[in-house]
Parts: sequence; structure tokens; C-alpha cells
Amino acid sequence: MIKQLKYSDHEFPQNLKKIPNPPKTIYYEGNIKLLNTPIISIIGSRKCTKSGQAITKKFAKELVAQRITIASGMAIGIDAQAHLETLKQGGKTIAVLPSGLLNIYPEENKDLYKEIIKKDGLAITEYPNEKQAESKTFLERNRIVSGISIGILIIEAMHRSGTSVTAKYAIEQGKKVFAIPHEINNKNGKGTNELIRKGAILITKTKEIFQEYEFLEYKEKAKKLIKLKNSKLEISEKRRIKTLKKKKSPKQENIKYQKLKNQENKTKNKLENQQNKIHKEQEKQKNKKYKNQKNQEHKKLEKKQCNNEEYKEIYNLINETPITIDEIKEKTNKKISEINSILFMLEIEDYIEKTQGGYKCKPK
Amino acid sequence: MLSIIKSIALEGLDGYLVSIQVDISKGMPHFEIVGLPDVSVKESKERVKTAIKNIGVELLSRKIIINLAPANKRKEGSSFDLPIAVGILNAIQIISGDKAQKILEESIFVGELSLNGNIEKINGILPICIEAKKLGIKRIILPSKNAKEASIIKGIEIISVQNLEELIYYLNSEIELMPEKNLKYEKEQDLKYNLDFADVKGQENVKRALEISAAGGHNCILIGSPGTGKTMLAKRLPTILPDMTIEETLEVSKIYSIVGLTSQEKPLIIERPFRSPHHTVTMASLIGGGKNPKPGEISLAHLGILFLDELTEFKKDTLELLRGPLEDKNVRISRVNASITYPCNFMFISSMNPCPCGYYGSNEKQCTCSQEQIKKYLSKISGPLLDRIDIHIEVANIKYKELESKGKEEKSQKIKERVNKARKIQEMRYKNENIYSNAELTPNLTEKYCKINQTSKLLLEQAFNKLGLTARAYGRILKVARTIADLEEQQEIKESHIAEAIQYRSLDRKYWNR
Repeated sequence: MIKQLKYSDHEFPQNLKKIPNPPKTIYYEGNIKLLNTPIISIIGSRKCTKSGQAITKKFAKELVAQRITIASGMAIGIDAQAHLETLKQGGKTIAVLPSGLLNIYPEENKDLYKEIIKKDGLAITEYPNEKQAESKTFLERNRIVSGISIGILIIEAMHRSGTSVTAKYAIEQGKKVFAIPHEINNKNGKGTNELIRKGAILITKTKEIFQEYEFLEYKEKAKKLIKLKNSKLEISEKRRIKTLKKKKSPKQENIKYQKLKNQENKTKNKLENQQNKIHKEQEKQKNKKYKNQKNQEHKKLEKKQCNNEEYKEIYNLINETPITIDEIKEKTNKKISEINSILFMLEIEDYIEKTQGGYKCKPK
Repeated sequence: MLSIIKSIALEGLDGYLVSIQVDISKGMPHFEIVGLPDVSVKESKERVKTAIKNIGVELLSRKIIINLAPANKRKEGSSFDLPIAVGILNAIQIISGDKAQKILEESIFVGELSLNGNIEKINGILPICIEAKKLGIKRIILPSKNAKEASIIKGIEIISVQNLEELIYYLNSEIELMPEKNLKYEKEQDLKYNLDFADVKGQENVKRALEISAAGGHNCILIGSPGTGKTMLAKRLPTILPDMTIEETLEVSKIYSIVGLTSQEKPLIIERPFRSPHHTVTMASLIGGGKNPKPGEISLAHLGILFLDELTEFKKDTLELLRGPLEDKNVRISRVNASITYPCNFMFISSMNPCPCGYYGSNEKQCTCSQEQIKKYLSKISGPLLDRIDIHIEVANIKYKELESKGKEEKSQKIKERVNKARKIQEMRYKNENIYSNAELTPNLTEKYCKINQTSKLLLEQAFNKLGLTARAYGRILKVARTIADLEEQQEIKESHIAEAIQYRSLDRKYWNR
């Protein structure tokens, strides 16, 4: 359902009223209330690199965890990636379109548009429904992107790109401009480097964004928005936390935990026994399965502890700079096959990650 | 007067008996070859006439009719020169006598004539000899330049001749020619390769992947930036493959013989073939083809390695052709004249850059490609083709320090021993299944032979959820894990084997996913 608001309407978003040259009418679909939440726009070039994508994902994920709404222009490249990642993390996102809502541009992102609306997001534009996107509307759109947000984060931009125009609007509107630094020869980073030189705020961590606002608070241990649907995954998640706690004799804890669980199950069973015998049998079987699984987890844990030294030896070698398997081999004198399987285990337990040119430890 | 000489023609890898009937009678001077001769056979008319003249035999003006029976099959090649010449000489009684008649009846003749009467080398002598032996023929008379190659075949008398004069004297019992001594096929204990894995510094990870690939016959793709040594590594793969058995050697040599790649110095192909066609290769030369279909690169790589360097540079249609042969292990080529099946049981090894500029994922240089470009670049390799590749391995840059270090690199010979062991285990296990290696396991058999325990299953499930592996990876991981277990001479597939196997699926994890 496409709705519209006029400048004179009471509901017209306050933050858009404040910008110079505000839109006379806005057309929107979805949850208009999102405009009252803290919004940060993540923007960047359409011709993005894989590393740019990775940075987008990282920031979108972390901002969503801090309950920030992510806005962008729904163009291909960085924009689309920002929307996608936000949706994936269960966050709210706003798309600002350069065309009418019945004439979505670019066409390949139509599915993305539907997904945004479906997941309680918002699509907004100042153009009537049938209006086609033109070179002029792209630039005009950018002032709304910066207008609705409290700050814009620029991931990648080439020299004199549309992204730089958004930054110009943001400065006019008194919004904060954040930019990711890049290597000076990287042509995809020229624009952001220029912006930093002109006074944009250099950002390497999500926390640094929050330091710029007094009204925002950075929560170190932000909870994930989506609950894990897969029960087994949940188990593995729990296990991970346990393995992290290993130092405090995790074995005993686990046994206690299981005892408690078993007791719970037993009492439950007793109650149900009185109620329904057939039901009880089923439940027993289920419990058996559950126990089996638990036992296996324990076995696995015990096994891990046997090999713990090996794991530690390799884990200690891996730090922030990527290290190749060859280097690990040189330092540990282990067989490649062993190293490979240990690395995989560490990766799946979320201690390390595979990146360009080898393995590095995962930031906690 | 009529004379009948026997010869053998080839159709694909198999031969068939051809009888050459020469009739010389009075009448208008005339020379005609009938029985569906190809242009190359028709031309033999001139060669035969001139050669006979040049050895000093006068051909009187007669009507000469030559028939190649069976007359419904098209014949090509220059190997009929010799039998035609012998037939004519027999018909005009230059070759005569009871003894000569007996030899002619017992023998088959093959060879090409040059104008001075010399007998030249022909292609495909090995399959011809094998066919002759099958037909129970006592003797084969062939060019001396082919003698060594033919002498591999036991149980048939091989007489080699240098020129037509010598042959006439021999047939008329004026001189005696000794049959060629049987060339014993001795398996030289260490085949000497010029290349060795010890030449490659570092890259332990890739070497390990290639070892697994060799041990289980798995197809493999190497991905890495330019100059990381992908080609260098792939070229050394034959040095760790198990030696060919006598049967295998003959099978391969047969194919090479047809194409004319065997020689006096190298009558047998004893090393596993390593074929690396350039990426401009045409469909016909890759798969095989021609009016009378000849084997292509994939058949020449039979029981060896087909290496496609820079896989993404190949034309997409050309690559797609590989799908059938990779699965069936043979290829059927149909043309107007014939429809021939060639074997092509090869290991498929390929290499490619990760993106158009070549530096995506490199820690040395910044990749300048956009995501769209990379996507387009990778889309050249279709899913079904990728489906047939078990091992994907990334080749990283070598650091200067490693190049300089004089660490002890493992020799090919040592790796080969391990590979041989693993192959033996597989042979034993699959003796009732009509397959030889882990790579050939069908989904049914995978279930039977690649059983994993509960913990491994849990691990696999986690890996699938976490790393976003595709369904097609599942069976591949099990097969590769089976090979890793075989290399360690373990009965059961363990967790660590699975974990290692997943490491060799980088394409599923990284490049092909968004």
C-alpha cells in the first residue's frame, strides 16, 4: 500500500522538515514510524569490491545489534549489501528510492524491495508512483538519504562519485559524515580518503560512531536480534559458551548441568505418567534421544580436552595478521593433514576466520 | 592373372581384415582402385607405379584392377601401398614360386611406399598387430621403422623390411630375414621424470591436496593469483601417480599409435600421459573428431591427466563437452563414415585465477575487480561441471623467505609410495564393485563405503549451516574423507578426516556464494 504525506501534514517527518529544500510530498510504503528511530545510512559505490562488501556486512551487523536502523539508496553494490545484511540480522531498514514506487529502480532489486516491506521496513521517495529514475533524481534522492539519518557511513567511494554528493548534502544539513579509510592506491577508496582529508570522521570500529553522539549509548554485550531456529545450532551455541568457560573445570559444571536436566525430566515424567501412559512412552524415547545427544556432546568435549594442547598451540600462532598454512607448518612441525583439521575445528568454533591470504583470529 | 594379398585397416581402436585383390589382364592400359578408397588410398596408385619402376621392374601396359574387400567400408591411409605393390608384383610373376605363395597366404602386409621404393613408417601399428594376433595370423610384414613398436606383441612373427627390393628377394627366398626379437616390456623401477615435487618450495597445503587427489583419483581445481605456481604444481602430478600396469601401457600406447605419437625411440608410452591443451583448443580436437574420427585430447589423456590451465579462458561450450566423458569414462564420436568409441578415463586437473585481475584473495596486491566482474568471470564455469570436481584448493603466494630457505622438500618418490598404498587399499575394497578408486563411487556406493559416526555427522551439519556449503558438496566431502582415511590406512572415517576434507571445498564456501 503506497501512501503519501504532504509537507503541511502533521505526520510529515520532522527530520525531513528541517533540511534545506525539503521535499513537498513524500510517498512511502511500510512502517513510517521507523523515521523516528536513530538512523544511520550506509552508502558506497555501485562498483564495489569484495572487501567493501565485507566491511559493509560487518558494520551493518554491528549497528543492527545496537538497535540502529540502517538506511540506504537500494542501488546495486554497497547499498544493496547494507539492506541485505540488515534484513539477515533481523534489523530494520529504510530504502530511499530515486524513482516512483511503482517503477522501482534498479529492477534487479525488486525482490529486495519486497523483502524490505515484508520485514517491517520502509521504502520512501519524493517522486510520484510512475516516475522513472533519471540522472537528476539520483542526486536529489541523496539529500533525503542524509536528511533522514543522524549520520552517514561511507564504505567505498571513487573520486567524485555520487557518494561524495551525499556527503556534501550531509555537511549542508549538519549531519555527521563517517568514512572508512583505504589504502591510497586503491581507486575504490579515493573518495573516502578525500572526505577524511576534508574533515570526515575516520571510522574503524562501530564503537567510534557511538562516541560521536551523546544521546547514543554503546552496549558492549549487545544481544543478537534473531533467535536461532535450529535446535542443534542452539546446542552448539551453548557448547561454545561452555568451552569458552573451560578454565573453571567445565567438566563438573557440565555434569551438574546434566544432572539438573535429568532431574527436571524425571519430575516431568512423573507428572505425565499419571496423566497418560502412551504419552509417557513417547516422552521417554525422546528423552533417550536427548540424553544420547548430550552424552555425545560430552564425549566430544572430553576428546577436545585431550587434544587441547594441540589446539592451543595452533591457536596461539594465529593473530590479527593473516597467517598461511605453510607458515603454521613451519612453526609447529605438524603434518598438514593435522593442521588442516584443527584449523577447521577452530573455525567452526568461531575462534578464527579464513580471510585473504590465510587465517586470522576473530575479533571478540 | 589374379593375386590376393591380406592387410589390416583400422576403425577407431579396432582393426579389420582387408583383402587386396589385384587382377592384371590384357586390354586398354588402365589402373583402377575400387572398394571405397579414400583420396589417400587413391593416390597410392602413383606411388606404387613409380616405386615399381624405380626398382627396375618394367610394368607393361596392361589393365590393372585392384579391389579392396570388404568393398562397403571406406578405407583411408597410406598403409595399403605395400600390399598393393606386392599384389601387382605377384600378378606379373616377379614374385613367384610355391614358397612365395605360402608366405603370401600366411602373412599380412602394411606399409607406405616412397617413390624410390623405400618402405615408410605408418601410424597405428600397435592396434594392427593386436588385431592380427587376434585373427590368428602367423606373420606380419611391416616397415622397419615400425618394427620396435610392433615387437611388443608376442606370439606373432614380425618381419621388418626397408625397401621393396629387399622384400622381393625375401619372398623369392633369395635372402633370409630374421623375425624381430620380442621386445620385453620391463617395468623400469623408477621411471625417470625430469620434474619432482621437491622442486616446489613451500605450498605444503597444495601438495597435500594433490596427493589426496592422486590417491583417490579425484578431479581437482587449483585457484590462485598469477605466479603462485599452479601450473608448476600440476605438471608434477604425474610423478606421484602409480605406475601403469602392462595392460594399461598397451591401452594407452594403442591410442598414441593411431595418432602417430609413438616412435622408434619411444615405442611404448610408459609414463602416465599428461595433456595440457591450450585454451584455444577446438571442440573436435578436445573430444575427438574428423571425417574418420580420430581421438582427441581427452582420449590421449586416457589413464593420465588432462590439465586445463586458465580454465575460465576456455570457451564455455568447449568446457561443457567434458561433462559426459567425465562421467562415462569414454566418448562416442559419430560422423558420416563411422561411429567410434574411444576410452577417456582421465583425471581432470585445472587451474584458474580467482577474478579477472587475478588478485582477489591475495595478500600481496589489491584486487581491482568489482563484484559484478568477478561474478561474470566465475559464471563461465557451470554448476554441473563444478559438480564433477572433488577438490578445490587455493594456492597462496610464496613469501621470499620460503624461496630462499633450503628446507627439505619431500621427494615425489616418497609421496608416490603413500599414493600406491592407498590405491591398493581401494582396489581391495572395490574388487566386487567394478570400480577402482574412491572418485568413482556412485551415491549408492558412497552410502555403503563411506559410513561416518554420529559425531562426524554433527560436525558436518554444523559445517553446512555455518559455512553455507551446498548440497552437492556433501557426497564429495565424504569421498575425499574416505581417501584421506585410506592414506592413513584407517578403516573408519574419523572426524579429523571430515574436517580436513571440508577444507578442500573453498569454491563452495567463498567464490560461488554471494
